[in-house]
Amino acid sequence: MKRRLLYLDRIIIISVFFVIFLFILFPIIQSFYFTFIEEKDAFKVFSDLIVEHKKTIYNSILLACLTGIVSSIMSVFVGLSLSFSKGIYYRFLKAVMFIAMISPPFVMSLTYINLFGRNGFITKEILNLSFNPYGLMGVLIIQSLSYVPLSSLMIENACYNLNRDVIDASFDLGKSFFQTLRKIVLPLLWPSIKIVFILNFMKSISDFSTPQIIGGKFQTLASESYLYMVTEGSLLKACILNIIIFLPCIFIFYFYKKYNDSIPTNNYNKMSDLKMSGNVLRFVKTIGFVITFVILLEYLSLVLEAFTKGRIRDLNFTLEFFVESHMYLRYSFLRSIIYSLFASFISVFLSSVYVYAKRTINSAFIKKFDYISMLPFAIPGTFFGISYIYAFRSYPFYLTGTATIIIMNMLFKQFPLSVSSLEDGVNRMDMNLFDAVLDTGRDRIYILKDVIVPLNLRYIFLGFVNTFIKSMTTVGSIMFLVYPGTKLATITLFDVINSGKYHVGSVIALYIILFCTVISLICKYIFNRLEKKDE
Amino acid sequence: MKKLFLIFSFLICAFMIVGCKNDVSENTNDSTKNVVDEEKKTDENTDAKEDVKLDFSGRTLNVIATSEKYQKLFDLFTEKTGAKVEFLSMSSGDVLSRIKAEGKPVSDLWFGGGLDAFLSAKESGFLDSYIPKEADKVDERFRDKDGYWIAKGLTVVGLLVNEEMLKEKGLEVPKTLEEIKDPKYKDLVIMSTPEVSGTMFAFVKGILDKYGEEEGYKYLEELNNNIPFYGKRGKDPQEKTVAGEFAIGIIPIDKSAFDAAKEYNLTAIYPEDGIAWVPEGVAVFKDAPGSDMAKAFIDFMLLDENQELLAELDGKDGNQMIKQGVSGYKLGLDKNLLIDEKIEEFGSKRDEILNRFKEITKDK
Repeated sequence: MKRRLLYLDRIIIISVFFVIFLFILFPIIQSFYFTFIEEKDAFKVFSDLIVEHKKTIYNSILLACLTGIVSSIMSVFVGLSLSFSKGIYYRFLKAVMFIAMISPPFVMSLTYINLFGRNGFITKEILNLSFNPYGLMGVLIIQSLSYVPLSSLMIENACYNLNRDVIDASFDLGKSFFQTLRKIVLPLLWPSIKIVFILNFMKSISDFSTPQIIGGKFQTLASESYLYMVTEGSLLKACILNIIIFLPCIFIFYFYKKYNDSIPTNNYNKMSDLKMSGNVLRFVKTIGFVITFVILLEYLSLVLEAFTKGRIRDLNFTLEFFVESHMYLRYSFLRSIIYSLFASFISVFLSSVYVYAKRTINSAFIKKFDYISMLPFAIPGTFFGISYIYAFRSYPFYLTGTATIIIMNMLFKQFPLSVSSLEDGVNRMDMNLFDAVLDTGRDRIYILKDVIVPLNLRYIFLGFVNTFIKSMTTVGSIMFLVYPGTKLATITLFDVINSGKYHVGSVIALYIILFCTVISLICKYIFNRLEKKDE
Repeated sequence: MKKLFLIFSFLICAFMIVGCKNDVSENTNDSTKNVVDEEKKTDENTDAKEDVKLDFSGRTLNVIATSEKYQKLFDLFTEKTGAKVEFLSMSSGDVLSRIKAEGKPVSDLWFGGGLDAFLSAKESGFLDSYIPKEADKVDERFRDKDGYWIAKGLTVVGLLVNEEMLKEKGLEVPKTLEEIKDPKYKDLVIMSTPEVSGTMFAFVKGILDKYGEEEGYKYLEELNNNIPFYGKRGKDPQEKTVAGEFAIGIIPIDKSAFDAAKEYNLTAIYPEDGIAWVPEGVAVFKDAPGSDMAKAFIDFMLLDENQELLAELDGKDGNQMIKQGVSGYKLGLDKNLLIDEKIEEFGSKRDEILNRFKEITKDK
């Protein structure tokens, strides 16, 4: 009996590690192999492309740096506002950020034109400016605004982890809010700010849709790589450009891991009860509010786009787009939901076993393997999709055209986040509990079943919801993997927007947002009920 | 122990279900292969009977279409033959790269797309040849003589003009292609890059065929001075002209353009000195599991009532359809204004023309 369980434990762990390797590292290896080794003159094509795209490379890196900086600054403002607010205002800010985290692709760029274009609602009607929204500025603004929700929640979390004693001491000594902020809070937040910068840098450099829609003359490696697929039908060139994006990401990723491991996660101190005042505080809260309001406006504009017709001056309410959208969503919406659910459930299983293995087995191999499991953070979406084509188009892993390849792709793109989320929880656990299980004479695998999973349900649910939402809204990676029989809602959205059916696109986006919100609320409810049962 | 077993078996079931999903689709593909072989054998018999009742029930026809709007047409096909139709929107370049990368066709039927991609696919041997039953009723210009592709209609190029914007600047509304290259319209014109848009490629080719190569490239250079940047997506110019960002959009003209014009107070214009056009291709992929259904669809599409439906779905004027006598929408297209284009060169001269164009437009 004991032996059986021992083998079970080993078999499960080995299979999980194999699956992780197969769906994360193997595709990358295959892409490099087919791009550089199989293809003759590969290095010549590579160097020619680099020379041809010198400007594009410069654009990508410049944009990524600027977006990283601007979004970090914005997130600090909003994150601080969140931690210093309470009551209804706090709930308002938090609600906007949560809904804004579900951002279906493309729609933000389009609402941006509606609001800030030459004839935009804000620029023309309210401010009466004639503003050219295209180019670097536009892309920078849109990207930064879309990264603020997640980043500001990260900053808020970091604030809760600050050592309250030091902050209290500072106020007790009579220091003003500004001085405390400058000398204590910001320096303590600095590692998290660096993390936010890195994450947003990587997101920006991988973004292909925003420069396409509002870049105008300003194009990046990601948008150009997509164009190569569409115009020349050259998978090779698209892959090479993606590899060029991948390289700085890998480099930066190393720093990400270093900083992330040094962030404390054990405290939880609310800051909203501190008695603070002063102009600086008011300034921070105002900016935080303005940013939140602009984000809210984008979503309201989406609702307007979905249910009205005509110019801003004389809008007509209509349900025709709502009705029309059903024709487009017929099969693809349900399919998106099913695939995302599969991805989320399997992800929960895989990440739990992975974290369990990491924590209970002391092995250098497993520590090195961590880099592989975290790798999807650094891989641009389009590259991840293209590499799956290279990896799974022939035996023994013939998966192109199937549902599996899409589900696995969605799952593993989010794998690092599921793992980090669960690790967050496991880090807070008392390690003695692990020993306790072994002390009672049971096998190691019961640590997974009786300790890790039950005590970290909150983090497992978080991982589940996050994977679900990201899977529902992903487009870059699965774009190259879909077949007529596996079409998803975001692909439909992409097509509808490309056909100029703006209004219908807004309805589809709203459907996606609504459904993701519903699932999050359901999970929250289930989780709360489970917690109550324990009490 | 029991609980563990339950959990484990649940997970195995989950894996199996995921695996099964693919098995199901693979199985239907296998079974369709068998049916195709059988049909090939009985083809000689059925050829004799014209009115064979097609029965594809239980099978799925996979289609790459250019947009989701053809649902109605596909539904009719399902009604008539029992075949379920699944379709996906993919740009033609994408289709080519997927076939090359994966070594197998992405679908059975290729419904609509840039003709240059069809010509390239024909050359690479990706297409199956089929001469439809009513081929004699279709103008020669609109189909491949060897049967590798046939048009589902023509896309024509016109102008979408924001008259208010022009009035504010004291400019008249251009009615011809010749006028829009006038420097007075500097920074007011937008079109998509011909690399991405098959219609804009037709526009460029149309200009070259209309004026001759020398004069044609000169025209494009002058026009380039009026265009601040080229849209990266087909619908960019219409969107941006509607949004008031540009005054003159060079766009594919169909009913949706006229509708947008009405809704947003713009004007859709057929240029009076020549209209560039391109056939939208339809083809069957070689070795596709449902190629027999795809061929049946082509015949289905050529039936009069379906041509009318297609014209309605695409918002086309009757003169944009390939069969004589289809009425379609009355948008005022004069088919004598169609430029005399050399369609074969769409494939053979594509790279040359695009390279020249890139030189002229230097990273716009």
